[in-house]
Amino acid sequence: MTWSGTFAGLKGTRLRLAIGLAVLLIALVRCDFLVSHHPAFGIDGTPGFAAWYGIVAAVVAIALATLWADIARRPETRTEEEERDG
Amino acid sequence: MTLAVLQHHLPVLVVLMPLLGGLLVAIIRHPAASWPIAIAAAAASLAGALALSREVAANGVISYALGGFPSELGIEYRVDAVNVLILVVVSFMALATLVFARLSVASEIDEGRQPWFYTMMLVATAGLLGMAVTGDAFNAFVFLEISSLATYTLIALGRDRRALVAAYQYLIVGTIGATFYVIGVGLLYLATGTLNLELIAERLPEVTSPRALLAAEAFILVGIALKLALFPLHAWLPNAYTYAPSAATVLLASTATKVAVYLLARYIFGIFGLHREFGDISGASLLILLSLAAMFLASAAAIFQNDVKRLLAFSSIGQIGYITLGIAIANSDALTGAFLHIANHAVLKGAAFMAIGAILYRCGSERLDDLAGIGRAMPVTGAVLTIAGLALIGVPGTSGFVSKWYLVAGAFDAGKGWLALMIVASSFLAVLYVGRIMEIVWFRPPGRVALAAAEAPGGLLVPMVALATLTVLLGIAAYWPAEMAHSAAEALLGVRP
Amino acid sequence: MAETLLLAPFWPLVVGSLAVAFTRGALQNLVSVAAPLLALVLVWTVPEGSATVSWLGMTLTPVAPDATARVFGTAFAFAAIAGAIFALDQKSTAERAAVLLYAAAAQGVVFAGDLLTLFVFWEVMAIGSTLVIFANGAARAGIRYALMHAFGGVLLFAGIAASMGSGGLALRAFSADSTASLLILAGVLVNAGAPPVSAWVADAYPRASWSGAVFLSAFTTKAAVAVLIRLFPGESMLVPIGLVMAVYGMVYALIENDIRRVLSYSIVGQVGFMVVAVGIGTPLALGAATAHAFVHILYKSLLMMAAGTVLRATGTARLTALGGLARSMPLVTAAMILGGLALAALPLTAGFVSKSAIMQALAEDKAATAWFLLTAVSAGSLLYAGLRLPWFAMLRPKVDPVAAAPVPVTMFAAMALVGAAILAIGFVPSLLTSLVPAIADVAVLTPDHILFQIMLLVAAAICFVMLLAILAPRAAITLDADWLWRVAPAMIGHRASAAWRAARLALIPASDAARQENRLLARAWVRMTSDAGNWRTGDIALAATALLGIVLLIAAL
Repeated sequence: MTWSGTFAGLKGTRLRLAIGLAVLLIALVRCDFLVSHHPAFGIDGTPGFAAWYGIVAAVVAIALATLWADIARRPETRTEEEERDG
Repeated sequence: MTLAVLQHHLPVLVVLMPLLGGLLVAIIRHPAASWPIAIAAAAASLAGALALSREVAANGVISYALGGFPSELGIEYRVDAVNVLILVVVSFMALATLVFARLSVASEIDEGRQPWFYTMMLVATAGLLGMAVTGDAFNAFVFLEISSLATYTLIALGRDRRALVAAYQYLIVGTIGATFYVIGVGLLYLATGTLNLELIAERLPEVTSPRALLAAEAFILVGIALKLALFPLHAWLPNAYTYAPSAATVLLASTATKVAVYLLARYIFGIFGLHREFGDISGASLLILLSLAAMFLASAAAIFQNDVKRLLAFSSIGQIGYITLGIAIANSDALTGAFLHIANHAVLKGAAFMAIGAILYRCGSERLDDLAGIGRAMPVTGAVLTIAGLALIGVPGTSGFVSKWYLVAGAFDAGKGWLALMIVASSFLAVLYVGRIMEIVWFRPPGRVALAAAEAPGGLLVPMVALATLTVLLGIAAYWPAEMAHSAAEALLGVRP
Repeated sequence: MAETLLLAPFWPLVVGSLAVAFTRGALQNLVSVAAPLLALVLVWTVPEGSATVSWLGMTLTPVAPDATARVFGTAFAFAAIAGAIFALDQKSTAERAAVLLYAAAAQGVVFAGDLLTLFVFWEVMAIGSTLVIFANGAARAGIRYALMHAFGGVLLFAGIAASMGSGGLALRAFSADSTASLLILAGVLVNAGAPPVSAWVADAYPRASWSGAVFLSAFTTKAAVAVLIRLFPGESMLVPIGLVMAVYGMVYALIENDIRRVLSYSIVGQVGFMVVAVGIGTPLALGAATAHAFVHILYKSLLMMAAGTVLRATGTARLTALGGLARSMPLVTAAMILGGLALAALPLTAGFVSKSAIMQALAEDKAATAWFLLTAVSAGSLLYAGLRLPWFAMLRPKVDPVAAAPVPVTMFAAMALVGAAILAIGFVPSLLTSLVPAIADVAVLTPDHILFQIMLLVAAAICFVMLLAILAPRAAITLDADWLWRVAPAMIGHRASAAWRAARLALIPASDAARQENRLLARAWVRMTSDAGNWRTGDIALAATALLGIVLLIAAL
């Protein structure tokens, strides 16, 4: 699957949802400047940390899963056993 | 004869009861009379054994001079904590087997031969009890032969022609074993001038030629090892168990090899002493090696059997491996475990073989594939088989767990942790073969055989449910048997008389 | 104290299991719900103090109530109650009896006061859970499951026996530095679903019935966590193990197709969080692990119930076959979303309370790697549980959705009960912190925490919306380590025999030779296995003579 294919369906409701969520996230980041933080490692107390870290984490997680699926995904072979077991 | 006199003669009465019962059955030779007489004889024997166990617990060793001759000349019967346990196990299992035998024998054996079957059961029992009770090396040989001859007959009475071959093979092998044993006893006699085991042990330090002693040891131990089916001398056992009549298999599996194990322990600890090293390799190492081979190879072979009786027979060879391993480790806990396992395995294997006998009674087949779904037709029998199987694995709450626990503790106590690992690892093989039976019995759709079957009749159910219950009881309220086995272990190790 | 023993929480479940086996109809239903209810009462009323029983010269403490036991006992009993209500329409008496036995053993494990009792209940738990799988007719999967637990039990047993020498049977904190403690640790970790055997969870749980999986997802792995808390608090080895579990569970949950396989992998991932916390070992971390186990039982029960309802109503739990069910099954959709959001620790759900505790424990311990990694996994868990499952199974538009048969109202009642508990703890965290005082000081509903978590989740949600196509389910399975014990042995056997045949043919290029060799091999195999007892009499005599010779030789040397 190409990257253009991945985003091909990104229009209509989905696009609007993505934009809406992005706006929400920006608003949340703005709020994050107003509260007091109690960081344990320094960087986790910086305003907006969770926002960019969440995006990075989700993208890495999806990339990792995709990569692993490419390596280890096989056509289903267990149906035979499952059918026999009932 | 007053009670006190009876009490005094108990050691010999325990053996005489089944022997005379067998004789009576043979003389009367009436199918209807055989069973009650056999039951009465076995029950009397069990009562005697229990009375002896109480007396031993209270007063210690009982020495009984047969015919009143002193032990240098005559035969001494000697009951201590070790063999009283064997007496109780053998006489109890004989009684349980005989209860089971009535219907099973009626369906498997020609009416004309039934009295002979009961005779042989009783004679075999008498021989085994005699081997346990006697304190005389040659007398043990005589009883060994009595029980063996009766056993050959029992196996040959099987419904299949292959039973004859199995009996014949066992006859040859058993004779070789007995010959080895008697050669060893002869050498011992030459070296010490006595046949009394106690006296032999006393005179051993004075023996000048250790060579003769070593040869005696080798012959006696290998001879007994043949009788107890120690790996790799086990090969007579699977066929003998498989083709013998169900009741005979129950008796054989739960008593015959156990008494031989007792004799082995008696010689190792009472006479030869395992502690002595032969060069670099000690006798104990050899026994450990063979025990491990039995535990793994025989259990592995059990997984591949297609006949349930054969499967259980191979499992028996593996379980004997645990017992001899306990003897080889030779500390208090391991020996306790070994003797507990003698009793526990007798009961649980008895229950398992009875369940198979009941299935044979109802279905006429003991092939594993024919047992598909039999648990639905015979739920109680299936449950008994399940409990026995769980005990074979050593699941907590069953007797098998207790004996394995002691064995493992003994192995760690001896600083041989790897042996403990081997014990638990080999349990895994038991999971496989028991799991195979369970899968077929409970989870396969009922086959042709199972659809035609019905629950076993009460006469078969009562003894096997009793044994299965006992298996669970021995696993939970384990104090009493453990105490008996512990006394036996301590007596063997010389910690107490 | 005798009453401690008599009032042990496992009794009503054991008795209930027997009663369920022998009753039918309304009475059976009553017993199956009343037994866990009574167990819940006993979890809190069983008096402190330890009843000792002397067994074979050892002093056993079958019941030793303490705070940890009561918390786990509460969660187990609650899951059993909700599960029993959910399973009221389950027709298989075998399963209904097995789940109660299984629940009893789980109570027994957490209330056990010594290693031997622990082991006994551990084994009963394995038997009970195996029966649950067998009750659904999944014989082969059940046997694989039983073998895996027998393997774990063997390790645990050996470890317990080996540790007798130093410290007897007492439950105590081990450090993984001796053979004995390593064996115990390995045995417990097998049940926790730790690598390299994590795959048993996803192999076995989806093979249970629509109701059986609810019970399976609640007990075994969490009982293992409880035992880890008791035996290995602060064992540093657990931190990397738990991290691997968390990442592994997330990756597989993101790509699997069957809802219940996704949830099974997610169990491993979430248990990974708890294992990490146990590895940190501070009182706060141990409390957090306890709390997270409690909450995880709630939301995973809810998710498994939702999945079971879908399976029951439509006959399948494959994402590829599902979709468009939101209109026909609105309540189930809501349950699945709530469960998924709780798993992702959305504020105002119970998951937020316990995950905050774990994160704070990691932060206070300055465990930076674990903190950053688990924060990332939290974001990832929203992807698979909070978004992917509800979207592809229920919400996504589909022209021709599968027909959903009506399901009994009791199943919804069970989901409502669990959902209410999740929300109640989410809104009033003190409900949970009063059970686990160690986490009472954790800042849960503070502005910066709420903002942090919502930002994290919204960011992940944006990625989900953008990359939706990649996460679409495929009708496929993903290889896992269970390949090693399911497929590899047969494959190696085939390869070896093929290679052998090829080698033979290369040497003797004739078809006759190949046929003959095949026959020889087959005969040798039969001789070695099923025919092993058929020795010739002469061979036996030879063996006896050889043994005699060896013994004599040894003696002569």
